[in-house]
Amino acid sequence: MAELAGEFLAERLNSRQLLALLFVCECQRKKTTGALSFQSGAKPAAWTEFTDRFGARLAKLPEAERVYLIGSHLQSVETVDIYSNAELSELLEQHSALLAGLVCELEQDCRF
Amino acid sequence: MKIMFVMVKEDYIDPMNIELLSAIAKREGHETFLNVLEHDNLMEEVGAIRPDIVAYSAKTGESNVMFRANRAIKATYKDRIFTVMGGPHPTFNFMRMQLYGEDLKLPLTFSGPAMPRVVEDTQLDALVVGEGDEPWPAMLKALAGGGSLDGISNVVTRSNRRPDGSVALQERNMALDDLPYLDRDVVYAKTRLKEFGMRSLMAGRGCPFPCTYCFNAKYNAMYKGKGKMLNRYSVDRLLAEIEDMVRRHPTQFIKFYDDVFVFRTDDWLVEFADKYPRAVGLPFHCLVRSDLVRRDPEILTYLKKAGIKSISMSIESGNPFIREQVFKRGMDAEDIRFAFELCHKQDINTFSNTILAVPVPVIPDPRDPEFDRKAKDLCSHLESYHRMNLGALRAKIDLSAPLDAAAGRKIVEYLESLGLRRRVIDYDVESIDINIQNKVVFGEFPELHPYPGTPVSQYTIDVGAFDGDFEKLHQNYQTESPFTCFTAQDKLEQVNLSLLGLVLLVFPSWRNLVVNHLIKRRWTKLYFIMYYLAKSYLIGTKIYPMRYSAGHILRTIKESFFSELLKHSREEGERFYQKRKGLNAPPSEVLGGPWQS
Repeated sequence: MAELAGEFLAERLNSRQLLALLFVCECQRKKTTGALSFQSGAKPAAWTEFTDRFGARLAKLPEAERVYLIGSHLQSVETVDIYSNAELSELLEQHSALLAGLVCELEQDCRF
Repeated sequence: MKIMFVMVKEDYIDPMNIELLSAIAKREGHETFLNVLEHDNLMEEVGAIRPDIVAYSAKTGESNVMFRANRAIKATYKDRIFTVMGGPHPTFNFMRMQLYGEDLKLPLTFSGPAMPRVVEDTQLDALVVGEGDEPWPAMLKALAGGGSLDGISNVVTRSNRRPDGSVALQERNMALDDLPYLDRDVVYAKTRLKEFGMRSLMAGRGCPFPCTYCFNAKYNAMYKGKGKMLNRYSVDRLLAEIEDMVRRHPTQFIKFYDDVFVFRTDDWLVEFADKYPRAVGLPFHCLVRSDLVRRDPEILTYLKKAGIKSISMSIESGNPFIREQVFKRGMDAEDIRFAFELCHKQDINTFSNTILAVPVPVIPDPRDPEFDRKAKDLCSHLESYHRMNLGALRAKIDLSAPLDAAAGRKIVEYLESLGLRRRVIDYDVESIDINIQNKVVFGEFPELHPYPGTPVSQYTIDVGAFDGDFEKLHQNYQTESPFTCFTAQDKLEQVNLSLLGLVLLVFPSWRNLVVNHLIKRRWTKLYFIMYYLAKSYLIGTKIYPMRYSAGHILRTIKESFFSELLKHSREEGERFYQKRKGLNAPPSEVLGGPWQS
């Protein structure tokens, strides 16, 4: 198994990818994923609130610490075992289109 | 088999580690006993009981006392008694703990945060790394059958020790419901906990956060890929154990001792809030994080519904630089304000820990002739060590050119915006202030002490505040700071503030008197009395309120006064480590700098 060789998919993701995944997991838990739309330039209120909340916390942290902190929230609040490659890759595949869009949004936001 | 557990001294918190291992041992058909070194004669009891196994669970600091006890046992009984130690100390130090009959050679380098570079002569037969309850049944079976422990995961023996310092760990236990109820009888038969009305237990295991003063980050790295980090008992299983405990032991108050009791409003919390009042109905205390409360305020609504009386939410520092850059707390002042305000609205009494005396740079004085160099050095340190982005400052000021007065003012303002302060004591005053502003009901203000292996200890070495000689530290962590970056006056003010901080939570209007005058006086003994009275009042009436007879109260006051006195005493403290055996390496190779043997 890849995990046994110390090859964790989670360690290949950057903080933006993990943050996008955290948002998707939160929406999935709140059953609001269907209401997410970035069309016509408008940002969903949940996304704005989420990025404001994490923007303040992450702004002063270097990348490695951002990754760790977001990983902590994924493993606790969202109960994702990020060090299970099977569980993580299933999540990433399931939401690949949405995640790609969210990562683009984060790349344009100077806080992240 | 007969198994004797050994603990150093009694506390007001159940030793859940011993209680669980004893319960598992009894389930497997063994007899268990407890020896409390503080008041029991170890050798006399060992002679009378003749245990097959003596087992210790050690935290760093108390481990030395246990090693002494174990050496005495092995000197007399040799192979006739098998001795084993688990707990945090062997989990993080097993590579330098020499076993019975072993000639241990340390590897030249350790990876990760600083560790003491000495071999500990333990005379133990085996060490258990990580969760001890997982290999425990297999260990008992092997020992009962005269077999070897060498093939059991988490166990280190002299014959299975790996040269690279690694150890095979089992998967995390994700089926906590299968564990037996804690065996409190073995502890209550020998301690005052039997009469104490507060019972401690945990609803689950695991904490994912990277706080640098804690072992969890390192622990989680060890267990990476070995199952879900957070595991909980089902609500029904948890409540069944509490009901059983309340039936068998007089109980007035429950303390859930999980690092973080709940992370969000989930099905578990909703079910707990629904069933706990009917099944148990006793007031309780638990620990959560402010940022999680802000993210999901309904957490408090459900805890209140369940009957919570008091809650712990650690602030750790009122200063944003320390909180984020040194402690990596991942929460801001607004998280703290929001969560504490919500607790007050819900009438939940708050308990917070805040760490003082943290070595951090101060902003140089603009009148200092060396201001130019010092300010630039500080900026360079923030960028290179803390990896902070000072782009906004560099956009305004050319740091390669000499600084004029205007540039100097801008740098000072900028550094202040990052949380840096002009005087050492300012950081601690800010920490006291955040507690007062947020109306924290009860607070502890310990001074930072560098525990081996934690990232914050490495930080204190990196910034030159600590030489890495852990052996000179005291076991008691509420004493004078060990850091060389503080002057004698700084240390006096820190000790005084750590005592008077709690008093200020009772009398916040004394703030200026304390900060501007009292902390500078050598009246620490008087401040200790004030601290003790404030602590007794707040703990007894607000945090863990319980009813006791007059005799019990007097006895508790006497015991707790001396216990607190010991915690704050420099002279009485057991040395953290005893030097036993040095490395055959020149001082320069010793991690953290040279030490004298």
